[in-house]
Amino acid sequence: MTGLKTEMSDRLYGWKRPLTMRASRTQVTEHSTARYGTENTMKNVSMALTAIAFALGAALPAHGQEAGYKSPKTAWGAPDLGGFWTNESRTIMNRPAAATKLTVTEAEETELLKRNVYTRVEEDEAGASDVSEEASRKLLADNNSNRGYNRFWMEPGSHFARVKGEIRTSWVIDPPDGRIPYRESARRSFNDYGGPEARPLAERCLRGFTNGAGPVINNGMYNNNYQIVQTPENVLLFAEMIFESRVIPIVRDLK
Amino acid sequence: MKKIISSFLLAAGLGACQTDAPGSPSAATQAAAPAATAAAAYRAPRAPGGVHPDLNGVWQALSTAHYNIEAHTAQAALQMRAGPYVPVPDASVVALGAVGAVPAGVGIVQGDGRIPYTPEALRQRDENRARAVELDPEVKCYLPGVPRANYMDKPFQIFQSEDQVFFLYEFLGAHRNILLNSDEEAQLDSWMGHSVGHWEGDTLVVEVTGLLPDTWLDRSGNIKGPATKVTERWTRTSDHTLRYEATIEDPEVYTRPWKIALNLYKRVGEDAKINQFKCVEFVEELMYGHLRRDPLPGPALERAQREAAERARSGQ
Repeated sequence: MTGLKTEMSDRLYGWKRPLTMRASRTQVTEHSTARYGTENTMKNVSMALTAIAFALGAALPAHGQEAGYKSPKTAWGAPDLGGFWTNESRTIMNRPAAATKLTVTEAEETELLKRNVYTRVEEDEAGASDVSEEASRKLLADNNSNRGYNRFWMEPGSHFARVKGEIRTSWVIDPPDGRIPYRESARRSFNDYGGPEARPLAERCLRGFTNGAGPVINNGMYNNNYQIVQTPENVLLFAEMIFESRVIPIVRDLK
Repeated sequence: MKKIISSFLLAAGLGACQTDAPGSPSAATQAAAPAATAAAAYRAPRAPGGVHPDLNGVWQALSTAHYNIEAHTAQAALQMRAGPYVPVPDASVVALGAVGAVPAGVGIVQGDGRIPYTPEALRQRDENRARAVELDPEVKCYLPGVPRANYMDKPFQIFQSEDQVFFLYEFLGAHRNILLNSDEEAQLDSWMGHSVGHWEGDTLVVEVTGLLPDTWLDRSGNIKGPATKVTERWTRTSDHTLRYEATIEDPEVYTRPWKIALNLYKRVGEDAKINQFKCVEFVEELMYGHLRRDPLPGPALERAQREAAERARSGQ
């Protein structure tokens, strides 16, 4: 994916503190309110970064780091990444059609969010909590089997991500159109239903459809939660989405 | 056929235990004694934070408990059927030959070596055993549950920081986050259950509840129930061994609480790694082969044709 750059941030909130780290193509910044309510319920984790990059880059000046912020340390002196984190956000990898630029103002964000798919689903389903038999029969009359996920099960956050103080409409920052520049030959259609091997990995429950644990880690409709357990030899990055784990051995320490 | 198989297995089990007088320690119990002695004398290195023993590492059982946690002789296959003289491997596994055979083991059930099933649960176990290939959740790549995950034939890794303990199993990437010093109860039943842990000296004690009853205890049809609670005790007994003991209780399935115990061994050097084993992919032909547009000749096509005929008969 030569030429593609992403800057990802998120709404990652921790029990303990916000986290800012640097990976080669990733910038992370501070965040304000926690989706999970009271202070320090969940941590705010960066996206698209690898834990090894966390560990190696953390001692270097980290882009987007709050002025004067010092990461807490583990017992063996590494930056402490451990805990529960989330990257839920309305920001997605490719810029949505309604957005014309990478960064927007709060007013523009508000307007865009009115047209956001999750907002529209929310509106569509307003009042649908009437569970009378008559209402259920009416709802199911069209035999639409694609109702596996209604808004109740979605957990996509309520705002675009803030990256370095900017409100971002996509994770992709380069190319300037905010979209992954696929080669035509790399595009695949999934119109073949002849057998499981022809279906996308997420449909086969082999990977999360958000790419969960990555790389590149990404957010989606729900399950945007992560757990990091850090030991002197390894960093475990566990993604709630399809319970995927990555074990990152720590092979060098540049501090 | 079931009766024949049960009798055969019973005889096999009795054969393995025949030297034990009633009430005397089983082979498994006797084997446990040296480990317990070693545990008392051994002081494990400390984990990050310097307080608790370090359980970090890649661990693996080296037993045949994953085939059958009770004592068992070697046998030709996990699923047998009646033969002209003696039981023979079921048609579903006969092609595997020696690869599909079950190696013997002294078992990991403590005391008399037998799971104290209620009569009804024992009948279910025997029924499961007679159809093990068809019914074992492991065959379908379902999450293994607890305690089964701990003595499978694949390793697992423990991640222990100052305030977290996390188990990651090679089989399907199953995981458990151990909630330390928590009084939180299981909110929902799940395949791997709800694990709450605390330290008792140098032993990590984990109470596991909220376990779905669908998982088995081994490949031989041994079961747990809807209210099964597993209390695990994890104790390092040397630089290379980790003692695992678990008390299993469920009044709906067992007449009393019972225990299992085994040693786990630490992988070192280039072996200290768990690999990817996402078996969902490996069972697609088994699970969905009959649903292909063009099912392949063999069991998948036969099932597709059988189900099509059933639908035609029922007018669907």
